[in-house]
Order: sequence, then structure tokens, then C-alpha cells
Amino acid sequence: MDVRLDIEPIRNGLIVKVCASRVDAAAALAFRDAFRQATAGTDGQRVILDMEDVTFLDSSGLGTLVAMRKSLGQDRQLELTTLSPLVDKVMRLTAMDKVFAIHPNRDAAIDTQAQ
Amino acid sequence: MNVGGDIQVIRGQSDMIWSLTSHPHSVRQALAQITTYLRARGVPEAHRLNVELVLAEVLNNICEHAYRGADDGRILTSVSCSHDMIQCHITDKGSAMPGLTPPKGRFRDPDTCAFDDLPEGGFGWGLIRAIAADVQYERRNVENHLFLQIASASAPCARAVSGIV
Repeated sequence: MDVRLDIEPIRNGLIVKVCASRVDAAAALAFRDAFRQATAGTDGQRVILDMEDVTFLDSSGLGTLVAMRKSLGQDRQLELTTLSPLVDKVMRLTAMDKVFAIHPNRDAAIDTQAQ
Repeated sequence: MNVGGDIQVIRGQSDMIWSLTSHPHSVRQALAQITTYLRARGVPEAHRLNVELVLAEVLNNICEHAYRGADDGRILTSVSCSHDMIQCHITDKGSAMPGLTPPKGRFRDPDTCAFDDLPEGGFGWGLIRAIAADVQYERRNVENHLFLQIASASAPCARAVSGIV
């Protein structure tokens, strides 16, 4: 199952928009592969994942997000923006909201200084 | 490899039963149909999403653990609504749960976890137990039976719309 990611460069990094409504077991592998390609060679740059279109996230999808966060290394964050109510709930229930830098929306993410 | 199109829907006396194969695409398709069914019964979106999430975790666990990744196992998922609860009964013929008990599903605190050890899975049962009001498991001969109750809040299931799914 394909997961399309739209990449938009910003001054000090990139915004990766997830063009899928579900990040679940059926999409997990393709999502991780697409993210790896999108972020190859971006060392030191910010990576902001725009989740606006994602209305459903299950534990497989969450595990994939954590793996993606680890793939960026400890010296930078994986920043998330525009979480739907269910995605936000899954993050909070599992305490994985502590693992990501979470912004309410795209503009707030862009305005935030690089961390 | 099946392509996940093998789903049948059976109308029971007071429930609907989805018969699907243990394949992620079948799971996704069944969840979409169950969501449509609950919408037609007037279940509010937040509660529909709770049911969808809990069933996604249960069904994915059956695919991965009970059927160990084989994609041709049969899973029956029955869903019915009472005035304040949604009852789900899920049956499969895969391996029994270890210790004949569903996992407790405790979450690890990422603050006390080394970066490389951050968990990339194992969230499923914690989510099921956090959201479901009741969870019962029985092994009957070669079958696993899981009974779940999930709040449907003020869902007016009594005023059910006919001709759903």
C-alpha cells in the first residue's frame, strides 16, 4: 500500500506532509520507507511531519512514527503538527507525546525556532 | 497472498457479524464497514473512533500473534449496540493467548527509557484496556473468544436506522 509524502523545503529544514488518512498496520512499512527516502541526506535540518490528513493511527502506525523519530538520531527532534483528536489521544494514552515535539499547526511549527 | 477482499457480512438476530481473513487489508476493509454501520446507528464520531481503534488492535494482534502472520486465518467479528455500550465478540482459531490471559498492556515511560530502547510496538493491549470498559477472554477448544464492551455514550442505538451496511 503506497503512502504519498509531499515535501516542502523551509529555511532550515523540510515539511513532510502525510497524504493519507490512515497510518495503520496496512500502511506501516510503506510509510517508513517513504519517510526514509524523504529524509535521506537531511542531517542537521529540521523535519516537520504534517499530520493534518491523518485521522486514524493505530499501534503499528505509532511504532512506525517512533522508529522514524529514532532514524533521525538523538541530536534533533521529529516534529509533528496538526494532530487529529484520535491521533492526539493515542499519543497521550501511550505517553509517546513525550517523544516528539508537537505543534498545534503548520504556522506554529514554522515559527518555532529550530530545537 | 490474498489481496484482502475476502469479507462477508452476516446479519445476526441482534448484531452484525463480519467474517474476514487475517490480512491487514481485510482488517482495514472490515473496520471501514463497521464504522459505516456504527455511523448509521447514530454512534458519535469520537466513540466510533474508539471502537475502530480497539478493534484494529485486536484484529492486528490476531493476524500477528494468533495466526502468526499467515494471511488466510478466519476471524469473526460481531458488533451490537445497546443503549450505552457497544458489544464486540471476536473469534479466531489461531494460537491461544500465552497463559490464557490477555496481556496487561502497561506502557513504558519514555522519560526513563534510553533513546535506542524507545518502544516501536507493544502499545496495542495498553490502548485496548485504556479504552474498553470491559475485556473478557476465553479459550474454547481450538477457538479464542474475546468479549469487549466499549462505551457508546449517548448513542441512540434504540433509534436504529435500517438498511445499513
